[in-house]
Order: sequence, then structure tokens, then C-alpha cells
Amino acid sequence: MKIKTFIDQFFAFTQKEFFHILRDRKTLLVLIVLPITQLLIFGFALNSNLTEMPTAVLDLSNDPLSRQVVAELDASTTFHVIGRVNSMEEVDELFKAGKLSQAFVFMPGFEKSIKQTGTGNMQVIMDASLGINSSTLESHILVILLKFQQRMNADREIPIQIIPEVKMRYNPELSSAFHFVPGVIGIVLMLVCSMMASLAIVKEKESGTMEVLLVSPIRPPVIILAKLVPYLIVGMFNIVIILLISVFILKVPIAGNIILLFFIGTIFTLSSLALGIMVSVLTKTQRSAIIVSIAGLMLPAIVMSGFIFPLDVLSPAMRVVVHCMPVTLFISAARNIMIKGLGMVAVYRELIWMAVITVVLIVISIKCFKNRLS
Amino acid sequence: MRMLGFLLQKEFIQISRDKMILLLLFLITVILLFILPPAAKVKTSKIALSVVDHDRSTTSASFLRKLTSSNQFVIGAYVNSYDEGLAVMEENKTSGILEIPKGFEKNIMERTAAPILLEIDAVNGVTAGLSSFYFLQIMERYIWEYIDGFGFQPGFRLESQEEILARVEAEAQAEMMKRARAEAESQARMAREQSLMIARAEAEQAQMEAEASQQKMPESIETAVTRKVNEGMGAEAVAVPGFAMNTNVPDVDIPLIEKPAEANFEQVRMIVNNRYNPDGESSLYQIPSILAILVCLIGTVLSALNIVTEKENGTIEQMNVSPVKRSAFIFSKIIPFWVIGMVILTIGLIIVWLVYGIVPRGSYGSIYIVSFLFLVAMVGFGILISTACRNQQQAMLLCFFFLLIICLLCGMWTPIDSMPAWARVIADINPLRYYVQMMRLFFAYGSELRHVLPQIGMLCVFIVVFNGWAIWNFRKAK
Repeated sequence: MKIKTFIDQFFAFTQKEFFHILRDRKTLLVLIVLPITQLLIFGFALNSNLTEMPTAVLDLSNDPLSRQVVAELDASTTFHVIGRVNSMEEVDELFKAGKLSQAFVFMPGFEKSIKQTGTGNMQVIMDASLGINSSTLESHILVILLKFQQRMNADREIPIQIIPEVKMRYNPELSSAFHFVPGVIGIVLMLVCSMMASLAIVKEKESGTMEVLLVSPIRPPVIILAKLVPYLIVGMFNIVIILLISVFILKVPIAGNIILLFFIGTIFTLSSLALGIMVSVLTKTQRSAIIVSIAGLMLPAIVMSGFIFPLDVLSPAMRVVVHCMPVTLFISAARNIMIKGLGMVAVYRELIWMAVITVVLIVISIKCFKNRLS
Repeated sequence: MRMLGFLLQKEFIQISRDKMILLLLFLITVILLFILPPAAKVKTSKIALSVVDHDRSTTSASFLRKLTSSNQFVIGAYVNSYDEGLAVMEENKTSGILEIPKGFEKNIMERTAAPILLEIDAVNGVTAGLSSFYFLQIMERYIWEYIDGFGFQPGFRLESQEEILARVEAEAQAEMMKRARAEAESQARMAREQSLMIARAEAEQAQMEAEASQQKMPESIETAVTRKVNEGMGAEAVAVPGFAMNTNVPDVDIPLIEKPAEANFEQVRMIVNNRYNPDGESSLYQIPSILAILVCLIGTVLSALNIVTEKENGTIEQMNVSPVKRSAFIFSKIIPFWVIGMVILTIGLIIVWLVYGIVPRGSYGSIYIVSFLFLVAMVGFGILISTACRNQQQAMLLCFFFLLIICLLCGMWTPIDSMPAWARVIADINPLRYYVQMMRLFFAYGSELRHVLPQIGMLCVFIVVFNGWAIWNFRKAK
């Protein structure tokens, strides 16, 4: 009997919530269009391949060989020599004005040094902001230098050879989209869902309708779960569209099981909604709920989710913190399924953790909600 | 003007009454500045490989030693077949498979091409490209060391001539002892095999001796060369004043072509100077940028929720019937957020200094001036959103939409130069992009205001456009 009333209440209340959302057509439309637009923008715009990096050359030797090296570097698509300078001060000035990503410096007597001693030094001054990209740039420079060297020493043969066959598994063309698209999906879904849910209860508090709920026989778990359901359905609808876009427009194929991916996405949506509901229960005004869900969640979602920064360099303590965020788990699972085409075995840990986090968040919400009833 | 003073007084009283919001802002700033910077590390980790060594020879073992002594690779697992390696990789325990085929040593000994297979998890194209590059680099070095007789040394480093001589001697002695023992044993067993063994031992020894003598010559040349190069460098450092200040900064040297130089081989050596990035993790740049983004988020969201709250509560009607001018009204709404934003910035700068020990190379004065201009622009943007919306939910959605784009396309995460043209246009009209860039310049490069005049000019344009638009857009009567 008790269970039956529970279910009845739940359906009635869910129906009411559905009406709320369906009546506000504009908001509903925004909720669907907004993630799509962002996915499209970021899917195309985020690209970590480096092209035409502005470079300055300080060539103090200015001999045929150094000019040749500079010409080689300039000819590649990675570097673009914006100008030659005459002193280290000028290089500094260019860096300070933010116009350079690196500078090449040749000491006087570059060619002489090569001809006499066999070694010529070329100094590269790197921009601090390039981060991991600076290593990539170094490798580009070295490859160009190596080719240059091979031509200089064409007559010298190397007695032993190891022929490496390097295969790029999962992403043979090293496309940036393969790396970023699962991340963008995770971040956009999480932020939209937690944002919407974060208003669900606090709105009733502010508009005074909460009083009505408090005196009604409906129990807190019913209220909270019923608030989640309509948003969950909107979220699932979003997942389908987002996946369609990433396959057909962004050209990121789904190598693994699409049902599994959808299932994980649903659990992830639920956990984000639960996070939002918790925020909603704990705050008193819409304003503070919005501040928490935008200012408080956006940066962690970008920085700590493995979307940009690799997680495996983190300290063990940080790794635990980071893996408490559903978005981190989702991005890792989504990459495993979408890009690597792995199955359940590779993602069950993420799935279980996400479910645990969801339950914990919902339980906290219900508990705190109860406190306010008394 | 007096009206503005009264309105400001009212706003400040209102804000100071809502302790919850102030506490929340403080908590968000502090917590995020504690947890985000440790996660925003840009260095690459060691690349773990599953190794399938079909050859199991001295050469393959020494190659693997060379690979792991490089600090760029670790061996995550030794497996027996490619499929096992793949299974380990799919559990995310390793990020690559290295397969050394049978006959690797034989191929090298016989001076024929020796294939080797490396398969890298390339979901992250950047790190995969780097892994493959590091691998080729180490392989190249290994080949040269092998040729020069260093091939079997674990943990390779450049030895002095005496050390090399002593080592070669000791090795030769040990080898001879071993051989003598083997000889004695085999003598006791079979006479026929004995002669074969001796013949082979002799041949190998001869080869080793030949190698040892070969290496002595270039070695002496090399030390001379090194000395000469060092002398040359020293002299030049005095000649070019700009370089004197760099001498105490540790240069990170990628020694790709660090094989012993021989007179007939010409090489260009690259010396990488991470002068603006002393710890190699870009934290001089990352941490101030995170603070900049935080200031941007808080300033915009707070101001975007402001007028719209009055609309929702209906208190805006009172304003509409009052004789207050709309520009005075808007300014009374804007100014408190300038103050709040600057306070948050100050708290952030203190945390950045106390916890991470980061102080700008430029002056705090210029940071404050630029931050103030940025805040004025972003608060104007927030108020613009506020005037365009009818309720807080709409304001929230608009804020979220624009702020995520502003954050992700600010050039901090991926370089703006690699974006497609239309995205570069978005980045060009993104105030945060200029602010983050200026924060980087002030913190890492020690720029002064005169270096960033174009960026300041852009911020002024944003200030005029956003604030003007907001005042224009705010109509008292609907």
C-alpha cells in the first residue's frame, strides 16, 4: 500500500513537472539548441595542431649556413618567421609585447664552428604559455634539423639500421577532434544539466510555492526524484542529438557499442542532475545557486576532467579528488568507447563509480531537504 | 551625481546584507585556487609501454635499458604476445606496445635492417606525436652509442677517457675469464666442439678489440672538440650582453644529436632555453590565468543576475517611477561589482603568492590597472545580459552560453593560431583573450604597460561597446 502511494505520488508529481517544462517552450528550445551550438563551435575550433607559430630570428653569424637553417624552418608550416632582429633586447621586447611564440638565436661563427668542430649551436627561446606544445615545437625543430643534417652528411653511411614501424592506434591521423569531442560532450552535458537542476528546488523556495509542497503529503524523496525525471528525458534527447552531430558533422566515429555509450551518458546525465539538485537544496536563493553552478563548476569541469590536462601526471591525492567528479569518469569512459571501441570491461569501473556518486548526491539532497521540513 | 551617491549607498547596503553571497564568492575563489592549479599541469608524464620481446637477447635488453634510462619511457608490463600487450593497453595501464621481433640482435650484428614495432595509443594526438618522436630520438641515440661501443652500458652517461679505458679493460678481462672457464668445461666434454668454440671466441675477441681501438681515436677528438666549443661559448657570452643574464638559468638541453662528434660529421645542436618557464610546467602562466578566468566568471555572473533580480522581484517598477536617470541607475548597479571583482582579484593574488610563491615579474600596479579595465568591460557585458532578460533563468542560460565560449576560446587551452578563421574572429572579440594574454605577459615576461597598449585599446573598445549598449538597452518603460 505504502509503495503504491509512493508510486502514485511520483507519477502525479512527475506529470506536473513535465507540464512545467513543456509550457516554457522557449526554455526547452534553448536547452536543446544550446548544447548543440556549443558542441559545433568547440568541435571545430579546438585544435591543438600547431601552425604558423610566430618566430623571430636573431642571427649574429649571418652566414650562408645559418640562413639556410632559418629558411628550412620558415618553409615548414609550423613556423612563421615574423622578422629578423639584431639584439637580445629586441627579442625580449617582442616577447613582452606577446608577439612571439619562440625565437631562434645563432651565435657568431655558426658556419665556422660547424666546419671546424662539426657542431654548431642554435638556441631556441620558448614561450612559457605553450605548455605541452613547447615539446611538440621542439620536436618539429629537431625533425627539420635532422633532415637538414642528413643532407649535409649525405655521403656518410650509417652501418646499422633499426627500422621502426610506428603505428598510431585509434587515431591514425592524429586528429584533435578525436581527443576533444568526447571531452566537449562531457563538459557541455554536465554544465547544462547541473545548471538546470540547480534551479529546480530553489525556484520554488523563492517564489513561495515551496510552502504548498511542505504542507502537502508528498515526501521529499518523491519531490526530488520527480524533479529529476523531466530533465533526465531532456538530457537523453540531447545525448542522442549530440552523438548524431559528432558522428555526421564532426566526423568522430563511434567505434564501440552505441547502446553502452548511451547508457553511460544517461547515468552521467543523472549524476549531473543530482549534483544540481544538491546545489538547489543547499542554497537559499536562485542567485547563489546560479553562481555556484556557473562560477563554481565551469572551471573544475574544464581543468580537472582530463579534457585538456592529462590526468596521469597528477599526484595520487589529486587523482582521487579528480575522479570524484562524474565528468572525469564520463570523459574517460566516452573516449574508451567512442574512440578506442572498447567494451564493458574497460568502463565498468567508471560506471560503478558514477552510480555510487549519483546515489550519494541524491541521498544528501533528500537528507538536507528533510531538515528544512522540520 | 548626488543621486548616484545615494543609489550606491543603497546597493552596498543591499550587498553587505546578503552575507551568503559574499561568503559563497570567497569560498569559490579560495577552494578553486587550491584545487585547480595542482591539476593544471602541462608536463608530459612518462610513457608506459607494454613490451613484447620475442628476441630476448642482450641487444634487445640493452635497447630497453636505453629506452627506460631516458626518463621518457617506462616499461609498464612485459608480455608474451602482441595480443596480451593490447589487452594491457586496453585497460589503460600502458599507452603503447613495443614489439621486438625475433632476430633483432642477429639483424644488428649482421648489419642488416632490424625492424621494430611501436604502437601508440593516439587518442591524444599531441602526446602520441611526442611519444613517437621521443622514441625515434632515443633510437637514434642508441644506434650511435652502439656504433661507438657504448651499446651495452646501462644508464648511459658520457664517461671520461680514463673511465672508458678502465671499463674496456675490465670487460675484456671478465670476458677472457668467462671464456677460459667455458673452454675448460667444453674441453672436458667434447673435443670436437672445443675447436669450434675457440675459433668463435677468437673471432669475437678480435672484433671487440677492433671496436675498442676504433673508439679510442674519435673519443680523444671529441673531448678536444667539447673543450673548444665550451671555450667559444664562454667568450661569446661576454660579447653579447643579452646572454649574460641567462647563464644562471638552467637551460633544458634536448641532446638528440649527442653522439660523439667525428670530424667528418656535421651537426646543428639545438639548445632550448625555457627562460620564461622556469619549472617546465608553465605555472607562471597557468596559475595567474586561472585567476583571470575566475575573476571573469564571477564578475559577469554577478552583474548578469543583478537588474534581472529586480525585474523578478518587481522592485524595478519603483525605479521606473522615480526621477532617477537611467545612466545613474545603471552605474549604481555596475560600480559595486567593480569593487567586488577587485577584492576577489586581491584575495586571488595573495593566495597565488602565499601558496604557490608566484609573484609577477612586472608590477602589481599594471596588473591592477588592466584588471580594472577588464572588469569594467565584463561587468558591462553582464549588465547587458541582465537588461536583455526577463528572469534569472534566462540570464543564467545566456551567461552559461557566452561564458563557456569565452573561457574555452581564450587561447589558454589551445593556441588561437591553430583555430579555423571563423573561430579566430570569435577569439578576437573575446575580452578574456586579451586579459589572459596580458596576465601572462605581466607574470612570466615582466612586460610593462607600454608593451600591451594594443590589448588595452581593445579592452577600452569593449568597455565603450558593452556599457553603452547596456545603458541604451535598458528602458525604464516597457
